[in-house]
Amino acid sequence: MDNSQEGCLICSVSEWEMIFELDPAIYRLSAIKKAAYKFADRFHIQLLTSDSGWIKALLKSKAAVENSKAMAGDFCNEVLDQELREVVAEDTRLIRDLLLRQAFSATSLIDAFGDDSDYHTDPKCILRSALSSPIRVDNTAR
Amino acid sequence: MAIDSQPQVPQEPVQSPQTLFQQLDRYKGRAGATYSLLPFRFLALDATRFLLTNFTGELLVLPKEVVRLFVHHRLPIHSDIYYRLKSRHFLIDGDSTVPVDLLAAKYRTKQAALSQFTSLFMLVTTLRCNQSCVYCQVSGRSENEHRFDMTEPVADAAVDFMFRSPSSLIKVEFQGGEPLLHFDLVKHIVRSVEQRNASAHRDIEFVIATNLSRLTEEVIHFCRDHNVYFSTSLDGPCDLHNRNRPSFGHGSYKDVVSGIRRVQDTLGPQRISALMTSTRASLQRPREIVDEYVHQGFSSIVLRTLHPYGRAAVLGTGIGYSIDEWLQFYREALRYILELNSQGIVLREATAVLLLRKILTPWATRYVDLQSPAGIGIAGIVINYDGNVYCSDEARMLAEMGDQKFLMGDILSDQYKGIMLSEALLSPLEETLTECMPQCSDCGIQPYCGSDPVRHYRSQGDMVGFKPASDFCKMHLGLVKHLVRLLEDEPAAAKILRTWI
Amino acid sequence: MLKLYGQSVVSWDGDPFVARLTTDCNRPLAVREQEVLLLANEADCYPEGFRAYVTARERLGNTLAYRPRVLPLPALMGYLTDGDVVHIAPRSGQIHVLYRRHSTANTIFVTGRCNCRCIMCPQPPKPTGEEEHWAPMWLAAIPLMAQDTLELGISGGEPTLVPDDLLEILAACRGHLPHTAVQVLSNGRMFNYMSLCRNITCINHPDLMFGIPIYSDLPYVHDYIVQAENAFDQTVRGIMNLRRYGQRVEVRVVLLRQNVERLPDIAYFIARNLPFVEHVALMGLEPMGYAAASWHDIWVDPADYQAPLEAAVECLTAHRIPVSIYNHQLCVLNRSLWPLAKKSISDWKNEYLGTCQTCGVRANCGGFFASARRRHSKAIHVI
Repeated sequence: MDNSQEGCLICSVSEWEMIFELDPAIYRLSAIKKAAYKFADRFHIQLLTSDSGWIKALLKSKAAVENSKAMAGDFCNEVLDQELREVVAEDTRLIRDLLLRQAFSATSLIDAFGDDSDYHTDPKCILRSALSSPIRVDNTAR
Repeated sequence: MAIDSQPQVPQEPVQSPQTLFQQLDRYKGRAGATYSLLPFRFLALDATRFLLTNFTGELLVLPKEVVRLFVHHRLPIHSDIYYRLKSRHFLIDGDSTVPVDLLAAKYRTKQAALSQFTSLFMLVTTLRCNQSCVYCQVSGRSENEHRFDMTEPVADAAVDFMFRSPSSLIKVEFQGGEPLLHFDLVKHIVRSVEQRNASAHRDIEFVIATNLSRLTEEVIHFCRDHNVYFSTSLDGPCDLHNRNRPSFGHGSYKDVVSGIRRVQDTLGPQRISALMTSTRASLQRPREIVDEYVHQGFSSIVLRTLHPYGRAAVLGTGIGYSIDEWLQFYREALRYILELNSQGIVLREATAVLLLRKILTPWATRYVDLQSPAGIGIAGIVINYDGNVYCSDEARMLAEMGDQKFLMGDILSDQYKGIMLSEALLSPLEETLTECMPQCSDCGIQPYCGSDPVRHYRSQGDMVGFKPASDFCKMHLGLVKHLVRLLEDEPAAAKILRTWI
Repeated sequence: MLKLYGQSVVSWDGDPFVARLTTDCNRPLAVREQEVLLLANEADCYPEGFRAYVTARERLGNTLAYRPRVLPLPALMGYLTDGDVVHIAPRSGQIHVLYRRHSTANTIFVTGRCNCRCIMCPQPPKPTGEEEHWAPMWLAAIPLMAQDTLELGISGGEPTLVPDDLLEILAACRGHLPHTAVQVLSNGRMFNYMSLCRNITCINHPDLMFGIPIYSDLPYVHDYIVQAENAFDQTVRGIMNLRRYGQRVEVRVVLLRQNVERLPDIAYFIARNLPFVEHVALMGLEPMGYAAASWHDIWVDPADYQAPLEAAVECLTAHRIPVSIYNHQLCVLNRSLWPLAKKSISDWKNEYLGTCQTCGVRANCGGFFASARRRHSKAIHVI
């Protein structure tokens, strides 16, 4: 059948039911669940593991769906987007924690020198003059 | 003053730029070959584009495939889109660490209103009313039922309560029924607050929410002398307004309009504002409603949906409509408002202003119904005529319908601490942070949205609410996406909207 | 263009000193030690007690050839008048004007050194030589300045390069000139140290503002323009730290080819990240020093950047951040920007072209830098 999105097989589509098979190597279970959640106002949803190891999603409509092919496409898109969100969440988990801690901290968590140092000692070498010696830069080589 | 340089000093000849300066590439190279993502959320704006919001709600709209490239660390460094993402703190690379400091500071700024705590105190001075609006959420009592008036002891306890809040701003809103039917108490409260404030030194604002039918000279003079503002309802041109807001026989339009004129003429046009509530009858007439506001000399209009309380709930679909239908009405009304703006007419739509401030500015907003944690109790609070304290207007209406779930306490017998720490308040606050609720926590417009536990409880039986079925969610998604589309795709409209913040 | 340094033909053996000029022969004896009497002509005898005497006549008659402490005024310094403060180095005969009573552009130059090397710097720091210590001269001058001086600038080089001198000078301003607004021009990098911000705040100056440049929203571009790595981070942290201590900050953006296209992004960056700044100044180039040497690399005609300039102004204005445009002529600006264009060029280097004689808006126009005679927009025209 239709295989417009890698790892997301639309097995069957009707005005009362849609069945998908999704590759867990591409889509996290949490992403599939979140996508399903968004459709749970209009569908009863079952998630199973198929024999091939893929996740089978059965969406049984509560009322007849007019444009079921488009709806199926929407579901696949939603899974894709939710997977992307999971990637972002994982990728930014640590920096997000740091940002929240910094937001509620009275001191800097990344610039202790700026916060605590005596400017006379200048540990960050800010005073170092750009003109302490004239530069001879060979820019022709670039 | 602009001091640009030293006076002339005898100088050695200046060396040539080639020998003196490092080239651009040397600094450019410090950015490195890779980048790290900073936290952000996104949702589909349309078929081809995502709307992205960073940690503190800064907005970008990008093609979907670009976002995918970006997330998978394959976006070309030093491309135009890369710079947009970098400048707005969606990514960080090797030449700078200060985005961490800036994002943390911006986050604090967006949350800053929290530390102010409760600033809006809504006092229901009486349930008596002389009108019978079709969507009324108050179940007004007739004019002679004085047992539904707030008493002085309750009023005095309310004033004490207000000053327990740490907020530097205290905004007192007189509600009802019709507050002008019990004006003596309004005067008493205003005077008590002023007296208390002589030593408390807060910023005080007074507003009366009134239908203006009892606007006497005495009222006008008092409000002039004590800097009291007026808020009224104007649903549209005469026939529409009267259909929604009949007044036991004749319509209320005449009173409202003449009241508006009187306040504008005697106290000034800034002293009165109006909002409209849409019923099914309103949806066909966006331009006429806007015209009515212009005609009455307003510079601001609040386009508001029905809430599912009181008579509105009982009457059901007679005056009701779907959110899609309302959004259609809103878009048309806004388009017309923008058209008028381009012709030099000053008129802003207040919901758009609020959302634009969230989207475009670094500042916190204090609108009670669009906060996370929810604005119930901690931004605004309601003290009913009988001394019952509710966390919001909606909570009180729920109580009128028989459900006291959100009753926080009794102002006469309970202490401030007990009321503010009651389970009726803490529970909904804890459970409904948009940062934590399913579908809200990673929603692209989370920074611009809020939670409404009372409404979700009323409509779904659960404070958290199942968002796919939530009208509140649908409405805000529709509003924000529409505004973002205008900002992104319509330069003329965007230019006007950007002046509204 | 006014000459602020001069060389007299006379010298004598004496230590350098700072003094206030007066034309009044009858000054109270107690103050004469701090003052220099300015005379129109030579005289046979001079009132006693003044630190020195300056005559307007260039050439001395023979009778006074050997009279110590009498200097003829160098050429082109005839503008000096009562209340001006000068530094005189008798052994070399050098006169340096530190302060002019009727100028709105008085500046204290704390040091000639800098820790940046901006590619458009109009007054590059001197290369290595003897380290100057200018603070004592200024500390002597401040008490001699008029109490009703409205504004005073503190600049350099980079004032925070000698942080303790800067602190002393600010304290002196507070003590001697409590009604004078002070603006410190600095790259802000040393304010990365909270300890310096703390010390500044302890002085408790009643009307103090910091003018700090940011040249891009992209860190590496800013670093390139100032020729110092990490400068952007340090400057932004410096501004944030000043804010934490309740100090007032103005952001200055010099417009050059390297940053003018991103001006709207820079404006939005300021509005979102530094929304507390009191003012933003968008500044045209001064074609001197490195700017003159690099002119072909950095110059962009203002007539060609009106679109990003307007967009930036619109953004800042919508966010209620006051904006001014400095060093631009009215004829090259879009009309909507005219209210923001200030007469910003220091009086002593402010000039107009011949073309400007017949211009209808000359009175409101800021004109040109003296050094811009051949380096200005091709769009200059009479209104």
